[in-house]
Amino acid sequence: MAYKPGDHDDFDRLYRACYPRLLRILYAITGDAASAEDCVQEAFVRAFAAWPRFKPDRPAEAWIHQIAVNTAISYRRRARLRSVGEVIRRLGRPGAGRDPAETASQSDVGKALASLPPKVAADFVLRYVHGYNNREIAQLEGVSERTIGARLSQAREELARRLGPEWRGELPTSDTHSVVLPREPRGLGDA
Amino acid sequence: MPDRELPEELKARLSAELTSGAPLNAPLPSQARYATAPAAARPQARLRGRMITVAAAALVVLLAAAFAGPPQQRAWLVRTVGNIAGNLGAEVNTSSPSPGHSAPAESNRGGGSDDRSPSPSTPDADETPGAQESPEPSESAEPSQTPEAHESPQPGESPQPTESPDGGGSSGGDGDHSSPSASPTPDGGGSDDGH
Repeated sequence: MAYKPGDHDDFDRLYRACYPRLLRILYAITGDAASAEDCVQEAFVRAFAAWPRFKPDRPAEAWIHQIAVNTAISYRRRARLRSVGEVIRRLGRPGAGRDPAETASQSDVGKALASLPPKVAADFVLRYVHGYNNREIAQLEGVSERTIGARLSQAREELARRLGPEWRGELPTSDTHSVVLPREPRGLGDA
Repeated sequence: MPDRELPEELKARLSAELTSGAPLNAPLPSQARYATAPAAARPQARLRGRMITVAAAALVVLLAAAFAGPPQQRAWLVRTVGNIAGNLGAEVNTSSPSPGHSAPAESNRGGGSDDRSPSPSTPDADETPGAQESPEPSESAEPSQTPEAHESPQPGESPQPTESPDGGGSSGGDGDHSSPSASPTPDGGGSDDGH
């Protein structure tokens, strides 16, 4: 699907096409729905500002994905700095703990995903929720398939440690993979 | 390293967790932040455009007043531009010889714009001892006084430099300082010429 840089209608089309996927990816990274939505909106604001300068030598979906993940990474970094500042400010006083509403709203899976490194969580969601294969994720992010395989393995190990061994996964059989996008046969055993 | 697959129930659970955790209430593109933000995101370009417009309008008004306006406005404009140019030139002149007189120049700058009128007197005070020391006071004082007389009263007293010996005698404290040194100058100059 071709997008014309600088075209407002095309950007609206890109927004409609990518918003749901990005929201879930950023929810996995931030662990909070409101923050995820805020980050997605912020990412689209940044992308819209740079839209006239977008070079269509790569897919626009990959471009906006990278902007969104970077926005979420910045958000997490700021949140971590805020929490460190809060700890320092409350030094010597009884700790307030986490916000009960936030704790209650976050599931175990959400917490485990949010504990992963941002790019690892994003790749995990792309692979196991949106059905991309390793090659497509690698093309989307501009890294090697081996890197994607290593990140997915790291995510599975971490989730297995937190949630149970079944998250370690199983070796693929001939037709166990249900994907949304068409995949090539050699993508099954890569990395 | 084989790429493992998650069981289907785990995928379904993962998808359900993400869907319920971040419900899709996506606003329409027209309601998205980027669609409402441009008004706030483009203030720089808008400000730049306004500044260019205002500058162009001011330039047009000035040109119209200078070339097509009544002669009074034209004269005022020419005088104003001349004064500004003269001030700028005076600042350039006062700042350029500063390497030679660095300390007085700095002290004058520290004093502010009101100290500009006494500033020519300080070189006089510096030079009068020099005039007492050497037998060349007439030559050293003479060129120093004439540019001072040219520089300080330049805007208002342009005809005075021609009458500098007379006007210096009739004027205030500066005239008192300059008159003794100025009176020998014609003599010294005459004696030099005579020699």
